[in-house]
Amino acid sequence: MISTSITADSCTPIPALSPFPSGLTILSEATGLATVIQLQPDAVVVFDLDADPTRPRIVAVEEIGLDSDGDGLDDADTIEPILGFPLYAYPGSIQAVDDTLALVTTSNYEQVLVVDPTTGLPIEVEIEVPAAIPPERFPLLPPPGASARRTGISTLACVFPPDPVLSNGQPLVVEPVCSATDPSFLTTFTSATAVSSGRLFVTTSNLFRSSRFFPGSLLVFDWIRTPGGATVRPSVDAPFLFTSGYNATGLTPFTTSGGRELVLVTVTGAIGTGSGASNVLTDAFVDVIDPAVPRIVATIPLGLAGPSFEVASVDPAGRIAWLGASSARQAYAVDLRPLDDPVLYAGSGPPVILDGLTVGFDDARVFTADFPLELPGRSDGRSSGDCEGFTDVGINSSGTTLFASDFCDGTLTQFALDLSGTPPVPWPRDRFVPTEQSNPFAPNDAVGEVRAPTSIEARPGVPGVDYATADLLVIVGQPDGQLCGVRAESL
Amino acid sequence: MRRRGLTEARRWGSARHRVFALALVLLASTGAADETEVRDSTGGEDLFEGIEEILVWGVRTGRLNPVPSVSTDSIDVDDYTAENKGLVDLLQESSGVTIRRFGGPGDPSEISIRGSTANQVVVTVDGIRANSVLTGGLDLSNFCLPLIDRVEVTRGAGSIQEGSGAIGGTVNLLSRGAATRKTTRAALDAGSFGTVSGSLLHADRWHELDYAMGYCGLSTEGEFKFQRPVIRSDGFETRFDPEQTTRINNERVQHGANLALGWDVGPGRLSFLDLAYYASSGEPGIDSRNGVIAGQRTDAHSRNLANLAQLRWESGSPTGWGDDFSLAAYHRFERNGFRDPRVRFDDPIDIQTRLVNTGFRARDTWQHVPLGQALESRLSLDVTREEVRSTDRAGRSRPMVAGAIHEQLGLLSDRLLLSAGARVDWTDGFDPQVLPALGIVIDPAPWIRLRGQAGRAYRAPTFDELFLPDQGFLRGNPTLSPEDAWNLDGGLEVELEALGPLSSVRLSATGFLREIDESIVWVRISLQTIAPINTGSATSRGVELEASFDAGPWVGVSANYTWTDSERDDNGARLAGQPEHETFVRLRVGPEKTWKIVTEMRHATAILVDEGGSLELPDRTIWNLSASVDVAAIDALPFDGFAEELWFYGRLDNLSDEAVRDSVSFPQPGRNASAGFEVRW
Repeated sequence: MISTSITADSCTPIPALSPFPSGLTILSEATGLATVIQLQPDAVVVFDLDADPTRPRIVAVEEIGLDSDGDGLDDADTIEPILGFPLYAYPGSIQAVDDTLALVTTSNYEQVLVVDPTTGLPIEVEIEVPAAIPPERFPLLPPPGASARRTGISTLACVFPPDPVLSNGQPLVVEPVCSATDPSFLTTFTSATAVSSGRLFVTTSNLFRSSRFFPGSLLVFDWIRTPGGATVRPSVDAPFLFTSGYNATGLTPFTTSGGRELVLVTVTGAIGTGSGASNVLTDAFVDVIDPAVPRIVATIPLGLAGPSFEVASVDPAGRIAWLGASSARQAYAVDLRPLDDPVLYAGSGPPVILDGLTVGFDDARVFTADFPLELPGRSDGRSSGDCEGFTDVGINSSGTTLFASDFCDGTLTQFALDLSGTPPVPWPRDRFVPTEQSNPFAPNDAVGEVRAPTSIEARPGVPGVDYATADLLVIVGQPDGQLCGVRAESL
Repeated sequence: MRRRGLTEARRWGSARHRVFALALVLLASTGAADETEVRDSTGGEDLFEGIEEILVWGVRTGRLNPVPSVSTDSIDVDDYTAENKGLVDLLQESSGVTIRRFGGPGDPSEISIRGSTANQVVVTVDGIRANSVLTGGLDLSNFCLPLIDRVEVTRGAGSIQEGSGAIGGTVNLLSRGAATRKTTRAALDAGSFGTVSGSLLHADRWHELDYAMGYCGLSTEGEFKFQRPVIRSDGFETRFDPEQTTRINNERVQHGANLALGWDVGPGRLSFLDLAYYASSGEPGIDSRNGVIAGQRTDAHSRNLANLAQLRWESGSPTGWGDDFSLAAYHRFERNGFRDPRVRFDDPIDIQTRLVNTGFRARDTWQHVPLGQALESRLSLDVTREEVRSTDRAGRSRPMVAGAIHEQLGLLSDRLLLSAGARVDWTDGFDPQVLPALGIVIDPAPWIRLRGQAGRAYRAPTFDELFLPDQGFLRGNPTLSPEDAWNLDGGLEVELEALGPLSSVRLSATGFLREIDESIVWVRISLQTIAPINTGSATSRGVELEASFDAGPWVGVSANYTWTDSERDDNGARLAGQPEHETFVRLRVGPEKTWKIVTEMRHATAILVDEGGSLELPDRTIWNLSASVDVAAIDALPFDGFAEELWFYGRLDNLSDEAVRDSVSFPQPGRNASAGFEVRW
């Protein structure tokens, strides 16, 4: 028995050996719950945000077992003949579709698990594979024309990219499992999900080998919500979408201020396994999916930004989206107002590049690699060694404040978001200024102290009105994995 | 534990006296203590007949070994004959010493002294440093005990002798040297997990040449079942699936050999010592994932070959200035290979590393008697060159030069011993370091001693810490500064030849304090990258208690207890990897020379898994039991004349089948057994 103890009043240790929980989602204010994905042992952990005035409290834990998709077979036995490795599901992100159903991505055993976010218990969904789907396309889905009830939706797929080039410029070769002749690959590192307009979108990072990536892609499924579950089937018309760059890691469904349902895809570009600017190997993009078609209608280039892998934070009115940075102390933003341009959705051509150089379309770039929103240094002067940054962002429920956490120095910086009026596109950068910084965590080299914030999420609802506890949830990874409540606006 | 001082001490029986009822006499001097019956001078009637008889137990003092001011243990390996112990088992019986095991028989293990890291302990073989020049640490499982004669453990000191790295202390392994008497010994045993080990040593004299040579080997399948961790937080538990699995890819073959030659040449003695080992083993890695494989590496394999050769000349000083002079040249070679052909999302791994450490050291000692007081002066010079060549990095080398002087002054007929010394240690790439040390020993009587010492220690960063190639998730840091520490300790030792019914009583208590600055710790410098950094200062303090005694010829008891409190000075965070309390008790029953049953209990409180964090490994109590019999010593059996000693033994480790881990991801086996024999001619 390895036991944990409370070392910070506002934090609860996660019952795991891996210090970095991989996913966090907050349910509606009515539930007062948040769900975390932990590793080693792999489990879904549910926290009550209101049970304790000082910290989130665990209320349920559900482990992810050896037959994670509920097909009656040991996952490793199933995958080994295909990949040559006896692998089990390695959980990644979690996205709540609503308060009763959430989607958890897993890699190694590539799939999307369906769980109840209030209990962590698996939920069975009906998986139907249309007869029109080629049988080799999804090796672990039921055969074409068949269906099965499972708790995981396999995302292991053969992809035949239109531009078969690896991120380092080498040509893509043949994947024998998929085709004997055509360049192809099997999806790897299922990274994010989004449900929008009756479709389930799933990104896969497509890591080939250290720092080398297959072309960026995402899978499209039809998604029919049913009482207590869903029916899922691979899209016949567009089973795959190909992103503008490598390494698609995040999906953010949102509604524009004009009422259009869209999905943002965070395409980080190839990222190395190290840190710092040299770790960012290829350009990043924010792609825009029109889920009704579905197709990628626009892309917003960010340059060599290496945005964070998390979901983008979109203001409640759908006017601006923010991204953190995987390898720097900065944040990026894109203007979402140009996405209400109906011309974007006409036709079926390639994505429109919203960089100001495409005639007839606005520049949607606000903060990019060339013009990032930089975080101020830690106010108390404590150093953060040679740490080069990992920033995550979150927006408060009223859309007035952006919170940015810094892995390196443990700070939480608030930026005022002035989204008033109808200023020109893109949003002028001087509308976003730092207003406050707190030091809830220690710098990353302060060995022994609670530090290394990695994920930040703002609670829905109005602090002090809808709830009296902390209004921000932060996952910290050092000295061990903990979920912390931080009071920014909740006094 | 038994120490040389005890084994060599004369054992005095308890003294019993008949005395008057109210006469409580404590015999605390050196007088004879034979049982006496008081009679009148004519030898007639008993004068005290009818008076109540009271038994009073006496005390007879012992004589402490002439040890210096530092806290040391000298462990004689032969005290553990036929107990099938390994080197780490012996070390673990020293107070202040913590062994971190990373598996079962033959698996890696490392030492910590007073809460230090493994690379803060200098391990020498016959006085020559054996620590890896790459990592600074040392896998103690590479040394097989049959090739070792004695183990010297020094706590909180050793910088003057060894220089960089002696922050926690030093361990010196004295290999079986050349002998003037013909001796042959052999051992063979087999045990759980398909483990077989054996050794053969022979020492003799050939013309003018004394020699000793030995071999030991171990082979194990290494597959043991283990319990997976259960992690509890906030009243909830998470478990791996399955909850029990098997250590795989853990086979190991290990060979070790030593050669010692010695011959008198002119006024001195020339000796050659060589110790070599080879290990080929699976590398299962960490217990980390669901499934029966549990995230272990199924195909990784390592091969390690090391050789330490030393040529030493000892004589009176050729300069005529000193009394005892020694000059040693040495060469340590190590070759490590690691392969893993199956790596998902990366290319197969195949790394070959070659480490060389070459140098010489000179020692000269003078004895003076200035103003009627004994003064001993020691002068030493060390020159070393460390070198690393590897397929995964550019080759590097660095010279190290050091000189030291140490004075020891005996006053008041050596009842007060003062020592002072300093070493100047220079490692290429860093400023020279001055390492002063002071010591005091007060012997108010031959059986009681007060001692204290203070000294500075440092550790130059290792090649890995400085220059580990950027592997993405792991890299070195060429800007590191050396670790800097001060050690302070003081203690009391008492040795009594008899205390009531007990004999060979030895008691000691030591308090220690260590201040360390610029500790080098591997931390995440980004979400994905771990690198070493210098951290702030930290303090370790603690108490070490030791006691040992015999209760008659059939019972021997030794015990020790260590309390260690280590924390960072700036935030009070506890340092990881060290239990706060450790207790060891050993009970030997039997006449020792003929047969013995030994029970050991080792208790350690919870071990913090991460620095200042919340994860703790649970406290544990481990019981071991061994039984041995020397059939050659039993007259009724027909082995007399066959061999000097012929021991048969059986051993049970971890009797209560505890699920033990010293490191969170490295399981250790549960209950296991072995049996074998040792024979000496």
